[in-house]
Amino acid sequence: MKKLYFNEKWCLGCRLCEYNCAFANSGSKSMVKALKGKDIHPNIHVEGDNNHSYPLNCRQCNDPICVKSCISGALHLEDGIIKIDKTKCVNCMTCMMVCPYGAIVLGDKGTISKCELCTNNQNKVPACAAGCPNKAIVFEER
Amino acid sequence: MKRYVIVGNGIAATGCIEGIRSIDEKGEITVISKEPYPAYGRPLISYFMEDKVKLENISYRNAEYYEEKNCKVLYGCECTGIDTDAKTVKLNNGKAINYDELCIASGSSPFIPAYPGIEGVRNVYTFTTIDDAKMLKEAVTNDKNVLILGSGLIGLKCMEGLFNKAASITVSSRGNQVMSRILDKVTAKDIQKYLEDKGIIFELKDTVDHFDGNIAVMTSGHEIQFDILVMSLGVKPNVSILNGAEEAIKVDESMRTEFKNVYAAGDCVQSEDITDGKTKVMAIIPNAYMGGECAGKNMAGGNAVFDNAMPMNSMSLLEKHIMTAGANREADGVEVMDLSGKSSTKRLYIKDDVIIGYTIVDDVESAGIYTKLIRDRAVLSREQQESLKKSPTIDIYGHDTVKTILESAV
Repeated sequence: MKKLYFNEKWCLGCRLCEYNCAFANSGSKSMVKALKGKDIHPNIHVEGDNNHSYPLNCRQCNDPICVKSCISGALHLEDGIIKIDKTKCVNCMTCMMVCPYGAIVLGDKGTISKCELCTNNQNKVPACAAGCPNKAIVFEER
Repeated sequence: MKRYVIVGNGIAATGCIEGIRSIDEKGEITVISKEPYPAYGRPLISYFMEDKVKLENISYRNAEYYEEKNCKVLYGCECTGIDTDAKTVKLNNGKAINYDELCIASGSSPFIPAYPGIEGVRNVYTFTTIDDAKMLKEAVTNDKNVLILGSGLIGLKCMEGLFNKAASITVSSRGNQVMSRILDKVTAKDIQKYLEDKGIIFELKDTVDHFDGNIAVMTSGHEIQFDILVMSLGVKPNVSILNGAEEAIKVDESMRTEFKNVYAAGDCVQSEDITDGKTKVMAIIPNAYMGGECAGKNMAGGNAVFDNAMPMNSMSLLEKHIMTAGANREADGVEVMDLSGKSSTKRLYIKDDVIIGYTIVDDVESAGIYTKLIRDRAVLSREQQESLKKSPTIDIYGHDTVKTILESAV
């Protein structure tokens, strides 16, 4: 299946992916309305500094420890994508306690939040990859 | 076709079903469920009580789950004994079922001490099942004073569930701190203070001598009047079905018991804690699932191991978030790296250059990186240990691993 992959060498650390992610998941049609002056809660984060940086989000592990550790059953696998049922999440953060990549984050609606490869919004290709100016983020089969 | 029987229907049983089905799609699976409900995560009952989770959302899997997994679930049915020679499981309806492979995932039950006068107390509750929570939720009103015996996870989550619903909530404990199993004294004190500021009353270093109606007469002589009593003084494993056992069932790293074709997982087992080498009960959902899954795979002829169990907890208490893992206490040869901020706590416990535990309050983001280092028993160089002082990132795994994480399917 297609997943997101990152090329550290090409990442400029511009954080456009963070904005594109937060916008894609905001449900808003206006980027300014969705993001300006707000605390954004992207599911992707750029780590590092000017000479060494990379974006990181959920790796959609084949054998995900977050799903096995979830206390409510909110996290589950659907066609290889780790999805969250927000009606079941109680924000206990057990998934954050076990994710070895630090890829699960606090959302803004009293639940955790994570990348679902934009299958939970209107984008056909994950917004982070579509908007990456340097193709440091690609969405492909490997 | 193999006949699988699972005693119990909690998270370990769910893991077991999924472990079996990852290898054997056809075998006959029978699940013995004492409670009349599909599997649910027990910690959810406090969220149900505070109306954060609806009953229709409390099940661990979807409504079609057992059908999809082709499992027969005997609801309201209890196992009364196991004949490991004849390979049968006796049921409370007088029937017996045969198994080729058995998993005991029978969980635990509240421990209820025989206090003098307890028979004269009205409104006594425990807090481990949906039915417990339903009854307690119905009983509590804002003119009722609640006394919770025990200040562990169950007692304090019950307190949270009842918060703002009762006239007063008093939590009593024999020990001199709250959550003594998972918290150090300093953090426990902070949490206690935080909860006291919210109006919770703590009566520590005291225990019930006897009850005089709905008055608890403590050993100190102090009397606590209450309308509702919750017993959360710990749990005992449901293991008497296995030849009258009293202690949690010992399992090896493949989740096998000493009996042939008998496996066990979840809160009824004891196994080795990798962070201190001691054999103990580690009654938490991740271990229940992973132990159950491992048992299920092996029952189906697989070759799985679950050899890195450790205690860990992530929980909120009235908006404060507490995360703990492993051996998180001061001890000989243990270095404490204190990274606490002004309003948050973060202490890492390091022994022989390996992180063996942590306590975090509120500053929880990316804590999974510490957990992974503990689980892998990763030996950290001086430089790596120095880097722990910054926010955790995957850089600590080393450049080659980072490249793999970013560029390949993991």
